[in-house]
Amino acid sequence: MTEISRKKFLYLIIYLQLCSYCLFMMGFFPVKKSLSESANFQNYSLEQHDIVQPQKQYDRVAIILIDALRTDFIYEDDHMPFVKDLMTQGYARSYVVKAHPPTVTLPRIKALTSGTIPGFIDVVLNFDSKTLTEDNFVTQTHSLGRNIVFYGDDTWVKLFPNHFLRSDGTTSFFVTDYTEVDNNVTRHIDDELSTLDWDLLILHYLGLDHIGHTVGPKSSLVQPKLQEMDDVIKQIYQQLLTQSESFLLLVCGDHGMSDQGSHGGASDREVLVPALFLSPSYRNTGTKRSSRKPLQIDLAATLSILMGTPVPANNLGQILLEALDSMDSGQKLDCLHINGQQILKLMIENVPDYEQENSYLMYQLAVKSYINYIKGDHSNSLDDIIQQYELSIESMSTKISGSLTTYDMYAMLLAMFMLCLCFISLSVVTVVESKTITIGLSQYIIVALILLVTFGHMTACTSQSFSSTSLCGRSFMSVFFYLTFMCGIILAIGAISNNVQSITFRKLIPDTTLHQLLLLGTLFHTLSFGSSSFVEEEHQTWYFLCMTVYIVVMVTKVKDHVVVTFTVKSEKQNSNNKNHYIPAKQSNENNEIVHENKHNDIDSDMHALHTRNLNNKSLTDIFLQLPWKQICGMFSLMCIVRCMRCMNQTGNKWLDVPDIGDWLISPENKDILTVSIVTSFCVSMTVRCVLSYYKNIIFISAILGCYGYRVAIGAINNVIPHPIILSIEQSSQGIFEARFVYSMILFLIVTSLIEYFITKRNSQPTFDYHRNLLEFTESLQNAWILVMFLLLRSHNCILVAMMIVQEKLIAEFIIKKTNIPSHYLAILCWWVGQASFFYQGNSNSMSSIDVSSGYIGLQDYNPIIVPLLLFSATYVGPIYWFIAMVKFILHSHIYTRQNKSSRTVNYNKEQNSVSMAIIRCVQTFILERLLTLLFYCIVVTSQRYHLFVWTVFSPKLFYEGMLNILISLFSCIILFTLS
Amino acid sequence: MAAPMSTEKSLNKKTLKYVVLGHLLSTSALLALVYVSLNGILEIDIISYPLNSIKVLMTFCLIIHGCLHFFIGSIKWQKQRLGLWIKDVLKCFLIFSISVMFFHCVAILFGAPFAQKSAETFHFAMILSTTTVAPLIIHLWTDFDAWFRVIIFQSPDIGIESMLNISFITSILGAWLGALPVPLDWDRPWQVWPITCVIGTLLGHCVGMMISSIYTCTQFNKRNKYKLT
Ligand SMILES: [Zn+2]
Ligand SMILES: [Zn+2]
Repeated sequence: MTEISRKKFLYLIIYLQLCSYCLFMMGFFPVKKSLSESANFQNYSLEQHDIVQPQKQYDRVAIILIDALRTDFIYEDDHMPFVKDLMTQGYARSYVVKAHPPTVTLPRIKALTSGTIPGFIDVVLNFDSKTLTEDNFVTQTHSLGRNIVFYGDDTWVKLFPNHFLRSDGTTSFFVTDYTEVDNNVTRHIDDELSTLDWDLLILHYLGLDHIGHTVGPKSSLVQPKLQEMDDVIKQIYQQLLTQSESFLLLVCGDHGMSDQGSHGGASDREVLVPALFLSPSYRNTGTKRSSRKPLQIDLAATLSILMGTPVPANNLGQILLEALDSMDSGQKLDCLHINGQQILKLMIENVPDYEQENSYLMYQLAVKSYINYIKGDHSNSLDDIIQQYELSIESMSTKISGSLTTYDMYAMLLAMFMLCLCFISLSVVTVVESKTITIGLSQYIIVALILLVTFGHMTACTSQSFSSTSLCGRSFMSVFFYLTFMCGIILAIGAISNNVQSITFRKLIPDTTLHQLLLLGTLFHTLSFGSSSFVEEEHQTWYFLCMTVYIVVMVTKVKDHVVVTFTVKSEKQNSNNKNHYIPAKQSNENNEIVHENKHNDIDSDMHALHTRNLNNKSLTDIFLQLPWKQICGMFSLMCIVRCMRCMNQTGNKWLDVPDIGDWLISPENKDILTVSIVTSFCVSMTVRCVLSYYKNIIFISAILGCYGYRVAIGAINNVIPHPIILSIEQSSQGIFEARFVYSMILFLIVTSLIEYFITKRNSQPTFDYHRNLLEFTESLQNAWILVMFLLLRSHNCILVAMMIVQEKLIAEFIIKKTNIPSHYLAILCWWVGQASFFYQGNSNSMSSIDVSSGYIGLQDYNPIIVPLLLFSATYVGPIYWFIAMVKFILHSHIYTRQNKSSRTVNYNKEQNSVSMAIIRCVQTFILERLLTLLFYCIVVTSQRYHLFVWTVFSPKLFYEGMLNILISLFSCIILFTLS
Repeated sequence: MAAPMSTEKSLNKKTLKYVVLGHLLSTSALLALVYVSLNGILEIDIISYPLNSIKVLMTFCLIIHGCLHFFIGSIKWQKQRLGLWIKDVLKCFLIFSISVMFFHCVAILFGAPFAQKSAETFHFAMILSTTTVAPLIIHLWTDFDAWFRVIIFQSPDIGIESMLNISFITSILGAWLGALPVPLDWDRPWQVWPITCVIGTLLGHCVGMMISSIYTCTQFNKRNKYKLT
């Protein structure tokens, strides 16, 4: 029989859980089957009619991509007069095209150039763009030997290396800059318009997107930016017009912008973008518009036809016929036929029995009527045939895009099975209260298990529909997963079978209302993920649950207090009565006891009545003797929490409700914002100066640095008219201040680490190990507060101060005297931490990630620091409460020992009690994670064809994964250092 | 004038019958009322006119408890001086209004809109007080020992007091659970604050009364067994 310590077992479970999550993600995010070849010119012949793709229509094509250009900016507002003029004169073909979510730049550029629908995983890769290998019109143009010039977002340069004759990429990640990025593009235009050696000019302007991210679409900065864009378009159009009439300008956005200024989601504001073809060759001929709703992917095919390049091989879009104005109906139909043949090829590749598909039959019918037309049967007019083509191509491409998402069911099921095993074994182990865990199995069983798993794996891999790309290959990855899961299964089954006998179910039932609430609430939260609206409105669940905890604690305290004050007196008076009728101190749930007693001997009912009366106290007496300090403390805690939830509205249903954050950001309230931010700095300084003298000085100077940073980025007014600060304000864009704060944070951590080790080494026999540790945790928490002040949006500084006060109140009124067991404490901190995640303004949609926080104190994109900063900025709240939890545990430990007031406590025993508490916390966390993840994976798998799978369920899966990583990291750290 | 004196402690079979019957009758009356208000019969339509129908529901709830008290109540009224009686009335009124204020605050803390819809929040607080505190006032009047038995010590006598205790808890639980359907994206008219919570409160109250009648029966049988042996 092998025995391992609890700690090691937890490490293994954490590792297995992370592996299972990775495997599930690999199985869930579809592996796209795309044609790797690039398209050639195809000639088709129908009867005696040869279909040849028309030559290029324009000498020069310029694409002006304005990032986050929303539909109403260009069509409804009057900020772009030149464009409006062209539209009224009829030199424009204007569309509102629909982009596929996720509405993030990289997948949108891919869609725009290749006509494919990039998957959700491209959002993650958005920060790390690689070469686009799929066929697209930029590569096609390049390989035909034409010259392409590009200026703007350097994502393009990374996607299309060596494609451009001249290019200058600007990094898109310095979000607070919205003039320089665009000037970097515009300054090249004059040269390009005089050289004119290019065939395709691509300009990608980022300024508008940055304005959206930092100040929102209603800002006064939007109008001059649109005016600037209009001037650029005017300059290019008029300059090109002096040369020839044969040019085309495409003005479009890659995605829109929500009313909060962000993007990534699937709301109409984010999805609908303008696409405007401008050319003097367009005449104001009232061409009939097709009833079809154009998609963004249609632009790739249309541009290919207009530029005379082959339609990209994986294109799913359809030609926008009105933009091909210079062609006659016959030519348009030929183009549609080419488009149709290309999509048909994709369909044959991707849809197993395409011959039975309705769309395929529709397309064949359209082709047939075209053939009939060529033969001379003019019963169907050309326009009718065009319509038939359009309809059938649309339904074919819908069919293909549906079938492109193939799920790797084997990987997903295996991941879920593994999660399930982990959950069962960990819950069995949690209930069993032994120090070490027996996991051994007899050799025969191990061999049998290995054979069984291998056999199952073989069967799955050789079966047709169940085979998996990530598990069945000969790659390193599949071997790795195979071995990991083999060991995992043996471990889990060993742990379950050896410990399952010693489970006692009595231990599972929590004893007080608070504990029952914490357990049931966690379960309810997990189950609520079954409904998509509860996923969208997850913050409501947390707010509701947290408030319930506070109320329950308050009511319990008041009740206990009353019970104690009024029964103790009556006890003295009727001292000969039996004590066990008196509700004891812990008797907030004492009715059971009382009832039990009633059954036992009824005669003493009368005595019970006596002990339960109030000795004729008047109401005012009772009122005055209530625990007013507790009530006021809890009430102020609840008020603070209520204010925190109004700071940033998130979710979906009540997103538009005005919140304090919006109100504070608006320019006319800058003074109020200044006052409240300075107040919150002061509050946190007074509350958190708990460290040694020099560390307090570091903390205060770092907070001053944060203040300087807020002044420098122009979020608040300067209230300290000191020349040094004024000079800094002008010199840097906040980069200097931010770096100063970073160095202070590092300095604080390093000095407290050194102090910790020095004290530890100089340990005397009476050395207080835990007090030292507590000191270190406090300074770590202070460092984290500085991170929060620096990384969060300006108005959220108030939130930080509130959070600090909240923690103080929770420590004082909930944790201090309740003696709450460590696993329930872990759940409490988990709830509060999750609530604070949403207080910050986060949600379960990708669009609420604050991209600008990743670039604080940076001048350039850095592949390590930026994701790290983004991650910490998104999860500041939960991390703060994790640190607080460790603090609470150490604190309550020291507190209880002081109460014992015995100096001769066994050192080892003490050490053990803290380490047991930490292990219990970690067990609780991991159990919660496993349960939620398992349930959520089941939901996602069963809902994989749901309408919201890409907009609600996938982002949530991503968030859950991030949370998993966070909790695993945190658990490993505290397991390693504290137990 | 009258004031309450001692509560009746012994419970015989006849009173038990009355108590259980009374509970069940009032429960069904309340359930019928909830049904009526949800379907807009008799012009009590909680969806179109929430405030008015909450008022009507509240009044009926009070009337039902009044009747219940009239038929099976255990307080013996005695002659008392007018001044003391007025003092008692004022006390009860004070307690009721404090409880309304308390529930109003709690509703706001739980996320009810702070400035808008305060009339709705107030009505919700009223109906929650009507199902929790008002029955206590009606049945126990100013017998604060009994109040404390019911609310704080959780050790009520079998009969009316246990009914009050159970329905107190279930009403609050019902109001709490009533908030659950609000975030769902069904966009139904009844998902608007405070309709679900009001319905939850009333349903919780009914469920509490039903449970209490079952509880009374079982407890009574147990006691009788003990007495026999
Ligand atoms: Zn973009
Ligand atoms: Zn953006």
